[in-house]
Amino acid sequence: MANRTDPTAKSIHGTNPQNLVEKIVRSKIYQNTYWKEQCFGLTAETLVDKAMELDHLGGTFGGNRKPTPFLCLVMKMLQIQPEKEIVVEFIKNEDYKYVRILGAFYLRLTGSVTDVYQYLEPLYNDYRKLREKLSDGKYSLTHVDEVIDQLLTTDYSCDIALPRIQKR
Amino acid sequence: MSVTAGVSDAVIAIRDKLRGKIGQTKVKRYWPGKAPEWADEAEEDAEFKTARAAALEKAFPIHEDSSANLSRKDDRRLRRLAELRAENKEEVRADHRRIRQAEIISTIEEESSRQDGLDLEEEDEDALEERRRRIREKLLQREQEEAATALPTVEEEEEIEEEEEEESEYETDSEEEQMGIAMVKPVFIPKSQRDTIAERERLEEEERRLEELAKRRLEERKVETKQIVVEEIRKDEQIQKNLEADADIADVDTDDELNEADEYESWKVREIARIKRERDDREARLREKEEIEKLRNMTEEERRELERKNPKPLPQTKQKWKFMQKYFHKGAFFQSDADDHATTAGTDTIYKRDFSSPTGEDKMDKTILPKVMQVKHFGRSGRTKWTHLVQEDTTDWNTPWTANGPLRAKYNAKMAGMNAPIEKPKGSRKLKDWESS
Repeated sequence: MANRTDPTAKSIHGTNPQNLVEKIVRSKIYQNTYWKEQCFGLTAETLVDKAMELDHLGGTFGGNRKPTPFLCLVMKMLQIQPEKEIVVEFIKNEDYKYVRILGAFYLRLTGSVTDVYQYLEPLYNDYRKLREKLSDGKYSLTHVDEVIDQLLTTDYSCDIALPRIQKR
Repeated sequence: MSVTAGVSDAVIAIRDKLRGKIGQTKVKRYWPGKAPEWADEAEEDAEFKTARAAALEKAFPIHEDSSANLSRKDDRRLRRLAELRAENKEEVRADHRRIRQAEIISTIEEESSRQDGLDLEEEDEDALEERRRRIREKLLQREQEEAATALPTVEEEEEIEEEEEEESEYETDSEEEQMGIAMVKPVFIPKSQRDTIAERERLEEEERRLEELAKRRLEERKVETKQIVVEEIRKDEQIQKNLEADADIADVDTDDELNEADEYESWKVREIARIKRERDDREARLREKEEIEKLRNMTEEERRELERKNPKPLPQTKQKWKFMQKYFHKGAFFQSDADDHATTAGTDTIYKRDFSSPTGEDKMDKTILPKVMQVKHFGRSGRTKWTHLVQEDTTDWNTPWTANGPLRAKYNAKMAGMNAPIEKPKGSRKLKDWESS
């Protein structure tokens, strides 16, 4: 089963990590061609290549709520559960902003509160431009610090309900 | 011709008389798949005619002669029919006879006739022909007699018919009747009362209506077609748009080397806004904490004093509802502002609407309705008998119990627990001991 979670994966927030994505969005991801073609059999290493190819972020879009490749990769990370060091490396890398956002998003979904603040707050200083896909399929300009702010302050991002987090 | 045949003829004649000129009685039952009797007769008739026609043709030869002969010879259907007749004639006749036998009331005479009939079966064609001819002659004679009394022109016609048709007996009867029918006197009917004109007008009206209907249908179809076309175009555009959604990745330029100073400036603005927001939050939290602490340290009197000085904001004043206005609950969830401004489940303008305002049917003034209609669900199966509780209230407001006079006050003073003020509960000693230990 290509959509099964890695059996060695630890449960996060008391559940299967894939359940952090809502059922409907999850099924949309499973049906997506990017998921089927590009995300099949990815490992933590090969996932990096795919993450480097990313050129926009976002949740679902269009009339049939197609998930973006960004969302598919988040799902893949939840599935294979890369080690924390890998995620931290994702966040710390300077060259690829989308890889950084991917790592930050994954950490926000799965990490503890202290980890989230420790690794995500420094990203407030990153003001690089990002392309975000809106729900109507159009792109809009945003910045890394804005995305991080959204992750840290709101409870819903990229069509995924984020876990509760204490205030700073 | 044999003697038996003559007897049978006599019997037939007697029966004719008895049955009132119905002629030779035959049960003309129709059998599916079998040629009916009348067809047989017609066949014979045709033969008779053709014989006559042959004589005529001999006298006045026509061009078509050869072709007609040819066709007659070639007609397969006729040939087949003739063959069939030759084979089945005896059988068919036996059938007829058998059926007739069932009707006959058996007497000695009849019995004999039946014997004759049995003999008849063996009778040759000549005998049959002879009998038929005799009947025909008889009929002819009678008709001629009748025709003598009728008009000469009719006589001529009848004669022609006579020759052409074998069973003209019925016709003569009917003609007899026709002669007796009294003609109705023509009466003038004014135009306005004529049924024919009304009928014609009605038909015209109908036609016009149909035409109009057709026209209207055509119009509707046109509109429908137009709508379908518009819908199609819209769909196409939508599809196109969805296809293009992927294509405009270049719309947003994310080149970070470009205009870095401006980017930095905008980031600074954002960062300052964030810091300000955080500080405000922290200050608000602190202020709230302080206030709670202060209130906790106050005595009862001080607290009352404070409450008097800055009273709570009044709850929204209730609007006067209309008569018999229906109640709608405003819904239980997300009514107040979210306590956390960061959550996406924020407040919407819909929550600030006045839910007591009348909507729909309630906008009508129901006080002007007749009294029977001033009930809930009027005219429906779920209709109630009552308008509201106050109308059904039978309380007598004049009794001393309902009036809050001095008598009542005196009574109330006697009741237990009316004098002492209600104090704040002090809690149980057991619980306090448990908490302190």
